[in-house]
Parts: sequence; C-alpha cells; structure tokens
Amino acid sequence: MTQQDYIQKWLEGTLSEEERQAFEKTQDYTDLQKIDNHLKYFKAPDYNSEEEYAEVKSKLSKGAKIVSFDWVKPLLKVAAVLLIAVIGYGVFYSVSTVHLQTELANQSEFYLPDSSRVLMNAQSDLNYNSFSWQNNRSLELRGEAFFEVTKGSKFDVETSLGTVSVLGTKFNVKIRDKYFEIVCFEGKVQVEYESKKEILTAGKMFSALNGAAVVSNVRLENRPSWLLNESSFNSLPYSYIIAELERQYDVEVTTRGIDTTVLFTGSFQHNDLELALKALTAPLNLTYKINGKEIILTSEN
Amino acid sequence: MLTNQLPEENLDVCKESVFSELFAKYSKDLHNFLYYKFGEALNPKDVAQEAFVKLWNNCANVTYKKAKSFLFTVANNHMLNDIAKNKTATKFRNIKPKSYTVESPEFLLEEDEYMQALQNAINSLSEDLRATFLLNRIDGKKHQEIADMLGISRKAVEKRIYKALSLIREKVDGI
Repeated sequence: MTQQDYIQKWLEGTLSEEERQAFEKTQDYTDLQKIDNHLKYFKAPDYNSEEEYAEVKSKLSKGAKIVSFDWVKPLLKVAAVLLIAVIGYGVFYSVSTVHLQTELANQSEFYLPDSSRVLMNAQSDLNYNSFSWQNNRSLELRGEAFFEVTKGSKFDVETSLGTVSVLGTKFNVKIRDKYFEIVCFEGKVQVEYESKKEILTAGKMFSALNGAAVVSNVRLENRPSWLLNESSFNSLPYSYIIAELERQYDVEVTTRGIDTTVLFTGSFQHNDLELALKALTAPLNLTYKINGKEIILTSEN
Repeated sequence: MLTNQLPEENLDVCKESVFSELFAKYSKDLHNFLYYKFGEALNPKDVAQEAFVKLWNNCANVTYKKAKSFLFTVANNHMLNDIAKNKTATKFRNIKPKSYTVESPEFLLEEDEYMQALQNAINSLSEDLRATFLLNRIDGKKHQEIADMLGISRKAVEKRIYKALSLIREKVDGI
C-alpha cells in the first residue's frame, strides 16, 4: 500500500486496526492530525433550524395551508429580559472602568490587576476595565507607555492607529498624531496596523508614519530612552520633535521661518532645557530664545 | 433514511408536515454547504431560506425525491448570481479560537501563525474543493452523503477531498 492509499483510507476511516497502527507512526499522520484538530475552529456558525423555519413560514405566500403562529409576543418578553441584562451589565461595566492620566512634564508608574507594570510618559491616557480584566486583558492607550506584561492570556493595547498584542513581554508603544511606533524589548509582540499583522521579536522596532510602515532593528538599552530621561527620534518630521519637547518641559514653542517637515534624527535630555534646545537647534542652524514658558525658534539665515 | 410510513414517491411536498420535515432534514446541511462554499458575507442563512420558499412555491412540480437536489441547485445558483451581480470576491473566514488559558507565549504565537496559514490555505481553495472538504472534515459528512447533496459521483467527492488536503498540506505542513 502506498502512502497515498493510507491517506485515502484514513480520510474515509476505512483503515484496518493494523494499518492504522502503522500509519499513526508516520509524519503524515502527525501533520493530518494537526490539520484536523485546527479545522474545528472553522466550523459553520450555529444554525437553529426551528428559528429559521419560523422565518421561512412568515415568508411563504399567502393562501398556503400553513397556519402562522404568533412569534412576536414571546419574542418581546425575551427581548425585555435581555435588554435589562444588557443595561445592567453596561452600568456595572462602565462603573469599573479605570482611567489613568499623566500631565505635561510628568511620568508615572503603576500596576494593572494582574501585576503587569506600566510606565506612562508625559501627557498620556490609559483606560481599562478592572471588572473584566481577568478574562480580557485589553486596554486603550493614547500617548506613550512602556509595558512589562505578566505571562498569561493575550494582552491587547488598543490605539487609534492599530492594536498591539502580546503574550508576556516588555515593549514600548508610542502614538503621536499620525506616527505609531512599537519597540519590543523582550519576548514577542504582534502589531496590527491597517489590517496587516506583523510579529516583532526582541530588538525589532515597528514604525509607521502616515501609513508607511517599516520594521527595523534597534540598538537596545534595557528600557526605552524616555525612561532614562531622554527622548530620541529616528527620521521623524521636526514638528513631532517640537511637540515632544512641549510635552516633556510643559512649554510652548513658536517657530519662525522653519520648515517643520524636515526629517530629524537625534535626542534631547529631559532635565536641562538649555541643553535640550542646543541639541535640537544646532544641527539645523537654528537659534532659540527662552521667554518664561514660551520658546521661539528662528532660522539663522 | 426516511421514517415516514408512506412510500417516498407519494409524499406531497405541498403538505406542511412534509415541507417542515424536509426543512428539518436538509436546511442545516444546506446552510453549512453555502457557508463553506461562499463564506458568510453572502448571507448563507437568507439564501437557504430563499431556496425553501422557492421549493414551497414550486411544490406542485417538485417530487419529494427531487426536493434535495432542487434545494441545493437553487441555492447554489442564487449565490452565483449574487456574485456575478455584485462582483464580490468570496472570502472564507474562521471563528477565532476562544482563548488558550495559560500557555507559553511562544506556543500562542505559533498557534496563531498556524491558524493564519491554515485560513489562507482554505481561502485559496476553489469553492467546490473547499465546500466538499469542510463538509467532510468538519461536519463529518460521509462521501456518499456529499455526493447526493452535490449531485456528483462518490469517486469525485473522494478525489476532491484528497486534492484539497494535498493543497492545504503544501501550505501548512512544517509550521
């Protein structure tokens, strides 16, 4: 008997006891078994033929011999009960939503119910539900944060630009206007962006600006640079860098005659405004003036 | 197969009891066949209902024995017409596996990659191969039952299933 015969017979379920034992030792069997075990997830949705029949009856042409049964009243009763349940759940759900926020020029650290750790950069927002957290580790993020996730079920970070899913790891998520950046520090992370999925391993960075996504290698410290009191950038429009400076120092920056779309690579410190401004202006031949909380950048030419 | 006392040829499809028995017997298979073949975007439930309504309207001309092939043919044509009209590409989507509780991260990701590859493989099958294969492997329909539904030979069903399996294996084995 050829291997094809074995497979044919296995498909039909007509292998004899002896043949079956021999076949189960082969790699083919292992592969087939794996496919079969996973196929169950593709099963057609549940089908209730009684409910469907009721609908078909209502569509049948008039004058037919079918006596129609009034389905509306019992359905209304069921609907009322369901509605109450849904509202009750909704109220409870919204009550247990936790909202966390960091102000300008502030960073903070806290723990999620499963003891996953979150470090939030300045001016960031985070929402999660403490009630459903055990079953559904999912949170919404605006701004930037670094996560150290405790092992367990899937952990989702939902953002306006895409979803990042992880399974016990360390990673940084940054959302700035049209810019989306994820750096994986340990383990693996899955990024979902514009319906494409990308898996990042440690040392990889996913970045997307205005819809153009790239995965690149990054030189890794143990932590993202903002946790070491520094902000660093790789080929980002100058306007994003200015916005970050405003965020970190709680200042307002005005630019005069500067092209803020030019791409900038570099970094600045969080604890010395003068030094930070020097680092940002020198490469582009700009001058700066500090006026209390206001900063003016001018082109030298 | 038939539990009714009357011989099959004497059963009148225009009788409600006969019609509802046909519905109970074939509607789920019909729905699953449409779902596996065309995906859920084209509303397999509605199309299955529509086929039964047509059967009712034509009950005087369709014998009990011919009802099954009437239903499958009508529903299949309905879908093909919809596709021709809307030019919608059929896409087959799976239901995500619930949750795997406490497994290692690597296992979960590999599982995800495998499911993704399997879904792509199923998607890339022709509609006929996909429907035949999934009716057999997921719904456990026998070769002869599928042959009766589709009005093809048992041998053809066998060949389709084997072909579909080989194509799927090319894409998922080793992941």
